[in-house]
Amino acid sequence: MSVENAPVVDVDEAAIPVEKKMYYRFESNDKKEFRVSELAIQQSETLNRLVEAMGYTSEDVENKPAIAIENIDGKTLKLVFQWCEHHKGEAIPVDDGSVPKIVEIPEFDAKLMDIDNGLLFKLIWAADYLNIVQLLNVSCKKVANMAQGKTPAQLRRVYLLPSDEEDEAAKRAAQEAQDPRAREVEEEFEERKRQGGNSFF
Amino acid sequence: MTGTEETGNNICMLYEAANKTPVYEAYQKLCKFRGNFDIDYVDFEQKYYRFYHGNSELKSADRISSKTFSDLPIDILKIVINDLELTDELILRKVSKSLRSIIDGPKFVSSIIFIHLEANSSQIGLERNYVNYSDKHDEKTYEVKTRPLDSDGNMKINITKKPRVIGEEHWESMIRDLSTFLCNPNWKFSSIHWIFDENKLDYPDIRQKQLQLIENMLKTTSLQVKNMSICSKEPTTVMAILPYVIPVSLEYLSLHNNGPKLEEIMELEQWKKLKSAYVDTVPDSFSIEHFFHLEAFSIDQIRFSEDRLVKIRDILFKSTKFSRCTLRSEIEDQVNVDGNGEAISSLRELIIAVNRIMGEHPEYNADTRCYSIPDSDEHFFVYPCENHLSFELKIKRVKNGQEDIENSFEEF
Repeated sequence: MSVENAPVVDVDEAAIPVEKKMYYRFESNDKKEFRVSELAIQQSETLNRLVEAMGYTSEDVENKPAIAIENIDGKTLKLVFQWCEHHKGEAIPVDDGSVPKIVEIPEFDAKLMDIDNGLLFKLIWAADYLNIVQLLNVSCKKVANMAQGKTPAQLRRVYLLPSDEEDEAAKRAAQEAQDPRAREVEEEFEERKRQGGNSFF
Repeated sequence: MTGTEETGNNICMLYEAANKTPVYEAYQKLCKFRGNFDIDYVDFEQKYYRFYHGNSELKSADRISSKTFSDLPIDILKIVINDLELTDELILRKVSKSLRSIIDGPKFVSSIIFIHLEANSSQIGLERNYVNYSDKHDEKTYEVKTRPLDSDGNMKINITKKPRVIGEEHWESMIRDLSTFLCNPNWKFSSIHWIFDENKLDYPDIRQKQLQLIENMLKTTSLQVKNMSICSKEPTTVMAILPYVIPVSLEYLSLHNNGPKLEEIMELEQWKKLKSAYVDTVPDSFSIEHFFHLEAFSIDQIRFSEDRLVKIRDILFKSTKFSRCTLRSEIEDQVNVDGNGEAISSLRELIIAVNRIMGEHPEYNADTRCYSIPDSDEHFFVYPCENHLSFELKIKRVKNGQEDIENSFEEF
């Protein structure tokens, strides 16, 4: 039947059942609660699988405790869900293995990530943990952009990185804490070196 | 900075953060107030954002529990590192051992690398960034020119010039820095371009010393590079570099001004394993057969002699990989075709000569300028033409039944 010949039916739009939007409740490790739409959750592969496996109804969402996300604090989770809500319904990029990736940071994301470095690293960690591909891409790009034109000393400060000496000292301290004899052994080794022996044995 | 000064700065910062003044504007205001730019912007930014987010404690517990770059999983660090410009990556290498070990891991360096040696200066070019090592005016300096993109995608130019502390020649400093990444056995490079500029090079022995140093550097670790070009009038240059490239890694080679050593170069395994090549000029005595193991090649200046055309005709069918080539000859140049040594001065004469010589082969059709390849569904299309001040002879392997369009000859 052609389109022209098809019978015209008056549709009462009010009679069409409107599918209710489903929201889920999540709780951060510092007991902050968030309500997140089903569509926004799809940006996170981890959460999407989790809610699919739980098979909650709207009533379950209200009656059961909020889903706990133990590893992420409220401040970070708020940013994560703001990002997911803003980008809900968008296609999730597929990794084609190209290096370097061509990633542009949209205005909304740039504003969202206008935060101190500690929080930004937490956001990256959360994006990785929750498997939110595009959030991970833009946040990593933001961190890479922060390195542009910096000296090694500036990079240490920007990325909160310890120097080799600090790294060694931390390792030594950890080793000593674990084994009190480690320092003695090291001193013995240094002494032997001073005496001209190149080998410990 | 005294404690009182720092407290004063912190109060200014806190005030600006409370008023939500943009961070850079707040920084400029403070510098103007202080009358100098002594405060490090990176430090300022960190403190500012701590205030901005309502945290006025400079050594807060939150900082201890917060994530740092080093806490990120190694896969994530690799994503960030892959997003960095090569220059920034090389600087990040210097920050710590642990980062160096990640950065030095297997990697395909897609940035194009330029290595340029002049009389009084030398440069390493990494995409949009340059490091220039100079000995001009008895002043030993190095200058880093970076062109980062700002948040709006606009390119800025930052230039930092510093004296070189070690009293060595500019090219010694450059080659030493080059070796830090070129000799990484885990790195495979996309494109490396060597340019040896002979202008004002008063002491030819310096070039030899430079080549010796480069050769020594490459001897320690063979180079993995996909595309490479070498431009030098010094005949020994290519032989100081090419033998130290891993043969299978190199797919395309471009040679400029290397005529005299060409026969020697083509005996190298690296040449034999190439897929395509560009050579700016070949001597008259040079045997054209050396090119027909390639899938594609281009020669910018070659004399079309009778002997050469006969050799091309006879080798075409023997070459299983050959797909296309472009041979050029300047019109002013005396182009001998027949045994009497008569010069060709028009495209018509070139076409007649090509048809006569190629036509001696039974599979050649002078009307269509096609060679049928026996027992195959392909043919070679032979196309003599004129382009600006050159004659060109283009040959391409084509599937039978496919249209041949002049423009289908892609250039390198």
